[in-house]
Amino acid sequence: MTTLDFDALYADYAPAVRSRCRAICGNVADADDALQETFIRAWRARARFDGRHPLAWLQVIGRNTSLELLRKRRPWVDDPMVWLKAADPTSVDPTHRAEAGRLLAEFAIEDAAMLRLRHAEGWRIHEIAEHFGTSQRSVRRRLERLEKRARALLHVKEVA
Amino acid sequence: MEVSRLTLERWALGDLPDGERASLEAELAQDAELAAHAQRVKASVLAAANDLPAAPTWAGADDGAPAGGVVIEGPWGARRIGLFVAAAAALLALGLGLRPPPASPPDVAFRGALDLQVQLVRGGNASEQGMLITAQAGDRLQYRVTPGQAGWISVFDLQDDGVLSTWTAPREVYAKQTVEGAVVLDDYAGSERVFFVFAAEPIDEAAAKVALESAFDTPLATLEGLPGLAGTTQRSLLLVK
Repeated sequence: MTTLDFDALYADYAPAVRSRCRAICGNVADADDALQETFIRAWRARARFDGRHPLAWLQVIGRNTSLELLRKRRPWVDDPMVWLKAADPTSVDPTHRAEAGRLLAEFAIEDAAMLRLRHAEGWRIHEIAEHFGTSQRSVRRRLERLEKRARALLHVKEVA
Repeated sequence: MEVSRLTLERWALGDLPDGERASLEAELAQDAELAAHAQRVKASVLAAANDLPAAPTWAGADDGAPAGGVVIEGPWGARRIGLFVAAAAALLALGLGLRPPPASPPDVAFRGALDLQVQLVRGGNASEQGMLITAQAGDRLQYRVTPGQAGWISVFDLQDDGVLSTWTAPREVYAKQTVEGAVVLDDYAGSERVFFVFAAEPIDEAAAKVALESAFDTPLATLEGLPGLAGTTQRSLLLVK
């Protein structure tokens, strides 16, 4: 693939990749870093791309890149309720905020991302399963476990 | 009705072939909830198209240098001697404590059922390793395991005196999800075999010990997998000090 091909690929698919990066990263700046890195990685891996399903290919790279970035930056540290898209984060009890931060810090990165996609972004179970390349059953099981631990903070989100 | 997010994104981008688009839109016309969800996906994609950053500069992107986006770092600080398994995180990052950074670009192709990458860090310098590693006490062994399918990853270490220990307890993974771990090698003077086991169900230390019972007289050099674990995919490496 040539640079022109990649310019076209970027023009065609970057919005969808950026949309998912935003959903995982939770902020525009990190998402745009992930977007750029995704396409750079795709460029470097172009020899191994068979040309079929370019968006699916890019979204897998984008997922991995976003998770790596999430792992490094842990954007919920500043305010976990903002990261979880609480309706009015400023009104949240500081105790609950601290508890949310502590829980998120304990979660595996993939689990934190999964929780965010489900509760902050409104993704459907089958979409999360598709995104992570796993079964719906596995997603349900993981979310049940996470939600059990995060019940208090999810409740806060609901009533805020 | 379940429609994949990828399909909805392609629909939002106008990337679906006419037949698929017509079929999807017929479904949307009959399912208000799905239609509302599709509109949310479309809005998200269209919003992301606003103020889209310029495409990266492809020329020069082949050198493996950080691309101006994610600069990977890892919190590899002081580690106690002995076993340390970091499920996480930061090893991807091959950055902190691993100077110089690896020259190869991140791997996005998964070549087999169980992809394995190993580095040995000594004196702050990291080097890529094959499946036979000459090491010394205090070296840090770092590994990245990536299965091609969803399942469970376990990592075990077997010393040539027969002592088996778990380096990574069974961990459920998604397809193509990378599990990272690191161990600061202790002063055990003999050889060790490290087994990376991928299975549909968790393989714990007890199961590994049972598997090894039938191989008690097999030299480590030739024991390339834990025997008798049907349905597993395994890789292993030999550590020699």
